[in-house]
Parts: sequence; C-alpha cells; structure tokens
Amino acid sequence: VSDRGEIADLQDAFIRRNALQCGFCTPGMLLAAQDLLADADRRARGGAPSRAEIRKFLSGNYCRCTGYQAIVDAVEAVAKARARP
Amino acid sequence: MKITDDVPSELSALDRPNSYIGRAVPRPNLARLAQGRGQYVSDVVLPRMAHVAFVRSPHAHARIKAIDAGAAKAAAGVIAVVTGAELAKVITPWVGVLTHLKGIKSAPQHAIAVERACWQGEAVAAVVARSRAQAEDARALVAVDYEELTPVTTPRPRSRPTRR
Repeated sequence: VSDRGEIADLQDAFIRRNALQCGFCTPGMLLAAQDLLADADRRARGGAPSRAEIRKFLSGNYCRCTGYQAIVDAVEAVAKARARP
Repeated sequence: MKITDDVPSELSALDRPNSYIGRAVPRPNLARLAQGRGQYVSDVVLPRMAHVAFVRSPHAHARIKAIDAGAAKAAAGVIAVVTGAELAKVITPWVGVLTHLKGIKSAPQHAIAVERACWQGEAVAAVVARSRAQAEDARALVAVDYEELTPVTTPRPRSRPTRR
C-alpha cells in the first residue's frame, strides 16, 4: 500500500503529527485507520468519524511509545480532509 | 561561596541552554517506519540463533535462597540455564550515565538479579533454548526459593542519620 500511495495521506499525517516513535505498531495503526476511513457504509452516510469512534476502532491496537493522542489527531485530520467534497 | 563540580566537565553542544528543549527535532527515520520498513529484534534471524526466556521475580523485594534448574536443563531443546550469580562472573554491572547531565550515574545494575530481587518482574534466571517455545516451556520448570523481604515503596532512605 505504501508503493501504491493508497494511504499516503495517512502516512504523511502520522509523520507530521509525530504519531509514531519506534514504528512497531504503526503499520497496524495505519491499516486499521484506513479500514475505518474506507468503510463503504460510513462513506455512504457521509461525514468523518468522531474522535470517540476513532478511539474505539483503534482500541485493539497497542502503542507503547507515543500514547494515542497524536495517533487520534492524525487519523481525525485525514478523516476530515477526506470527507471534504 | 563558590561551588565546584566534583567532576571536571567539557561542555558539549547538547549542554547549551535550550538548545533542543521546546524545538521540533528532525526525525529522518519516520518515512521508513511509516512504511512498515523498520527492523526489530523479533525480525532478526541468524545462523545458530537461540532464544531466551527469563524467570522473573513475583515479589517486589525478595532474597533468592536457591534456584533449582535441574529439570529445566534436562528439558527438550534447552542449551543453558543461567543465574545472576553465574552471569556476574562474566559480565560487569551496567552503570547508566547521561552525556548531557555530567556527573549523574546510576547504581550498578546486574543483568540478572544477584542474591536479591528488588522489583516485581526482575529477571532471576535466563533459560536459553533452540526455540522460543522450548525456552518458555523450560522456564516453567525452574524452581526458585524466595524469602520475601519488605518492599521499599518510598524514595526516602529507611534509616536516616541522626541529627545533632
């Protein structure tokens, strides 16, 4: 997915927001976030997921370095950017 | 009164006041890590590689009276079971220092607890085996006899010098 550029906006947001330290959990975080944001039913309903929804969706992924604030920030920024027409 | 350092020090670039506090520090490795291209210890595969599982203290503070590693040493795939006392003969304790806070150093820390475990989860013995599963299975066979001691739960020394 990196080479296809499919999640380039998520990767950029993670880097910009410093949402990764060691990077061990990052691939899982990115793919889970993409799963949330690319969900067809959600897109049909329109609108970006809330911070609470993002947190709940990522709750199965552990990060032992940065904490979750920056990760949720990054996903939220991309969700809003993608929801714009 | 003039205060002099006990350790004469040469200042490095990091000692300049506020040289990096409060500033964004470049992270050249982020792009690679954000593409899942990091290399971690669990990714490393080497010829003749062995795996280690640690026996850890269940007590916050305890004297290690005896370690019976006989059954673990005889278990399948086990290469060695090493205690803190055995390891201390070949590895000197580590002392942590900080290049940007000169003069600070930690108490000597052994790789594996020697005689006394000082925190819950401190390594008490290492079980080395051909596979991680074999190391973990053999770890369950190591019998450690502990004498529980009073945990130290405050940074204050337990006995203070008498004031005069």
